[in-house]
This record gives sequence, structure tokens and C-alpha cells, in this order.
Amino acid sequence: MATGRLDELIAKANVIEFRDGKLFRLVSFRERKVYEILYDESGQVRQIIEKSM
Amino acid sequence: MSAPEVRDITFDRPDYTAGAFIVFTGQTSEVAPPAEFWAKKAFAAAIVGDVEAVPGTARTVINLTASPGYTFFGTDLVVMLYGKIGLFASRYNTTAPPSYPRTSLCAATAEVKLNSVTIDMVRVDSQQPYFHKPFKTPLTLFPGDNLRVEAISELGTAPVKVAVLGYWTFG
Repeated sequence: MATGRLDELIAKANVIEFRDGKLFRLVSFRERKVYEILYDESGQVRQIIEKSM
Repeated sequence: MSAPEVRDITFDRPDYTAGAFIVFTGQTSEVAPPAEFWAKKAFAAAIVGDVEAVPGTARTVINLTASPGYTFFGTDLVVMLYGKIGLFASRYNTTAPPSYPRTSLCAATAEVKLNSVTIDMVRVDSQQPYFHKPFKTPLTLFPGDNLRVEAISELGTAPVKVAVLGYWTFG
């Protein structure tokens, strides 16, 4: 489910930012939104935090 | 080719590790933006990543799989050490010069892979910490294709930053 959501967000992103090889932040200027991706200890996506710019 | 509509997109948030400053004022390079871009069925994207590269082990900088329904056209590759990336490209009128304050002595190589096949290798070091390559033919990621960039240091711990500039097209 998280993968599908991420695919959707990635496809809308103007900036796709990786840190240490992991997707870290997505920025959509059209939506004026920033999405931060949080991982659990096993490396799975735990949460996607949505913020307004 | 008729003059394209001016379309401004500025990536300039100071809190980003990498920021792109892009102003689309027209095509000036060898790589033609896809027709979809001028038809407004596309939008600009910067895929950026940074990693502390170490000797002996390749570390992943970027690992992106194109989303279903979307194709990515990469037009530029930037690799650098230190500092913040202020992206530019020859076809873009830009406002942000790259900055790379030199700190420690280091050297690293970034390897660009498309679906596990190496398509580019770039070396940066303390003396030449900045590399920019406008692709002669776009780096194209069709839905499901994977772009992976790995970095390995030759000397010391190297803060490697990589950016691939381009466009998403959809529909």
C-alpha cells in the first residue's frame, strides 16, 4: 500500500531526494507540498508526512 | 521551432541538501525536451541524492524506479563533492552557481546504472569536485525502469552528491 502511495507521489514530484540511498523527501511545487518518508528499523516505510510549503 | 512558452520553476529552498534553480526559457542544448513538455503534458524534476562514500564498499546514492504511467527523460547529470548543489544546465537560464567549499582531501567515483547496466561513471576529487554532463541523448526511464547511482570512495570519506535533471511525461 505504501509502495503504491509512494509511486503516486514520486510521479508528481519536482524534487525527489535520496539520503543514504533511501527516499527521503519529495517536493511537489504544483501542489506546494513536501512529503517526508520515515522508515522503521527493518527499512520499511513507516509513515509519509505531508507538509505544506 | 516556435518559441516555447516561458515556464518558471524554481527549486531554491535553503534547507534542502540539493536545490535546483531552473528557469525554462527555451531549448538551447543538444537534448530536445520531449514534445510532451512543450504541450504541457510534462513537468520538470530533479532526482537528487547524497551519501558519505567510503573506501571498499559501494553505497547507494539514488535508487528510483519510474512510476506506472510516467516516463522520465533525464537531460543532465551532476556529481559533486561537498557543499550544496545549485543545479544548472546549459539549456537553462539559471540563478544559482554551484558551491563547493573544500574541506578534506578525498576522491570518489559515482556509477550510474540503468536496469543494473552501467551507463556512466564519473570521478570527482578535491581538485575537481564538480562534474556536469548534459546528455546527448536523454536518459530515458520508462515505467518500471530503475535508475541506480552508487558511489565508492578512493580516498577518505567522500560526501558525494548526485543530481539527475529532467522531465516527467505522463498520459
